[in-house]
Amino acid sequence: MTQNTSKPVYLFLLRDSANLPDPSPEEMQQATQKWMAWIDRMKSRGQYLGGDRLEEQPARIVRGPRGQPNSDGPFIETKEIVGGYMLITADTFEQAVDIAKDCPGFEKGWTVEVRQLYPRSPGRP
Amino acid sequence: MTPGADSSPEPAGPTADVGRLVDHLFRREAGRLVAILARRLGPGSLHLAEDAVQDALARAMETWPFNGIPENPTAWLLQTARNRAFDLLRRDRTSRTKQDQVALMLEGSGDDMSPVPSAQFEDEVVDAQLRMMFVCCHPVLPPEAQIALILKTLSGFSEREIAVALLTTEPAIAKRLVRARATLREAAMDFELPPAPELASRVTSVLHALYLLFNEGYKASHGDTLLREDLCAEAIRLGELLVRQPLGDRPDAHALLALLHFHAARLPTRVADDGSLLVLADQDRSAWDRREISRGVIHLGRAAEGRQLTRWHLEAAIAACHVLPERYADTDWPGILESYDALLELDRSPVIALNRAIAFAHVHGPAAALDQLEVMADDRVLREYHLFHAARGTLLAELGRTDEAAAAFQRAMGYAPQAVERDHLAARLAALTQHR
Repeated sequence: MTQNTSKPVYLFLLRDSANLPDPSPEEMQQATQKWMAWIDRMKSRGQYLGGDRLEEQPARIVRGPRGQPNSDGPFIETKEIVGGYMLITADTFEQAVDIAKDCPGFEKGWTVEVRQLYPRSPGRP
Repeated sequence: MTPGADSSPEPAGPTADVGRLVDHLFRREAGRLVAILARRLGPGSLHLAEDAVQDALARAMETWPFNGIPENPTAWLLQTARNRAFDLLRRDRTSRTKQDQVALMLEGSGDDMSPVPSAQFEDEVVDAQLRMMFVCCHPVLPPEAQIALILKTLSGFSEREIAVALLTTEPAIAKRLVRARATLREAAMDFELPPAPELASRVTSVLHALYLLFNEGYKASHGDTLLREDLCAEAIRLGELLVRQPLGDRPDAHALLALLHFHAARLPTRVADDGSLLVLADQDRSAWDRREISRGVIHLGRAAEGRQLTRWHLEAAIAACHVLPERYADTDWPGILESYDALLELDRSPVIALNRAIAFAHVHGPAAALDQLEVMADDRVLREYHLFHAARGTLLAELGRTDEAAAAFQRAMGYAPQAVERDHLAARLAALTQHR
């Protein structure tokens, strides 16, 4: 991920509740359009650095080299699956949170965890 | 700058990816792809095709916002759905079909990812949709199952959307579809076109189903107006698909399309801003869709080629008399009455007789028309038909017999199925007593 800005970088962890009935094609298109519009808005302001969806399966939480593979996914700890991630830039953490508030997934029960990456350049907090 | 001030919504630029998603793309592709996959796998695998396409669309929803819309969305969706169908079949241990056979079955044109779908692929899509129409409208299925199946397989509606549009419940639609699919499986239906004489009658049953589909969307209702208007649009889209093929290029098909286009022209003006119903005389003619009207005129011309005179010819002629004049006062009532006379010859339906009586009133006056209505008053259907009592009330009011008119409107209200219609009748009743 190249980064041509000295602004802080934030990670969005997008979590999906995945317990909804099958949406119709029309509803899926509407959802697609909302997500695209959100990402387009971030892109047009130079805030969007990248991101992707994550496959639901296979998934496993590994606890050290000798750890028991007793969990076939992160689902035992939480009902919510990490369904995607994004890297964005913003002036402040508050602004990053405000951008996250535009996530169209909320109405479908998604959550966004906003985290700040360690700065790459020295001298910034 | 306040934090987040620039994260407020603003229109995305013209190059934004979202602009490439045309309206109803998912719904339309759902119908096209289910038809193609089912054609390749056989109608017994209809449900499998539907599931595979549903999964492909879900995948598009999940990945396109991040990766962009593929250059050829149809090919992307088809390949994804095809792979999914293959997975589902492989997992199904009861399936006796060999994997390589399945793979071969699923092969076809349009599976390459070239930016523009080939003409050959587009032909396959149209052909698959036509064959699907014939399967959906097979006479072993009752009409209400045909309509539900068309909406599910050809139009990409969900069961919930079908239920909303047809004013019924989701479980009822689910049951109807399960039964319909089972019937198709038991009948070991294939996608081969029926032989010539049967083919012609199958086209007729497709036209009937499209007529019913349109009517479902056209009915006045408090339901989801947009979704119901989509039913009308689907009936017209599938009808246009049919008449562009040699086997569907028939005068009766053009007559039906003329009728549907004329009705569609008035769709947006049937309801006032406050949701109340507007009768023809009160509709804003300047808001009628001119393009729909001119399409109707073109089809009406094509319908006149040949000697066939069907009920749709006559209904289209009546609809034309209503939409073509600039002003309501210019309506050609004698022409309408003539068409109703001919229609009644073809179909002795009491509802047609009622409509004819209304046209008769415009030509020969309310007293003569009322006499005709009184003769029909004991008819089993009309007795409990709100529009019969509303028409009677209108004529009685014109004749100054206000008390009888009020009683007729009250009876009409008792039989009106929709709240919006009861409101309309209540308003007319109120207007009546004001004039007293």
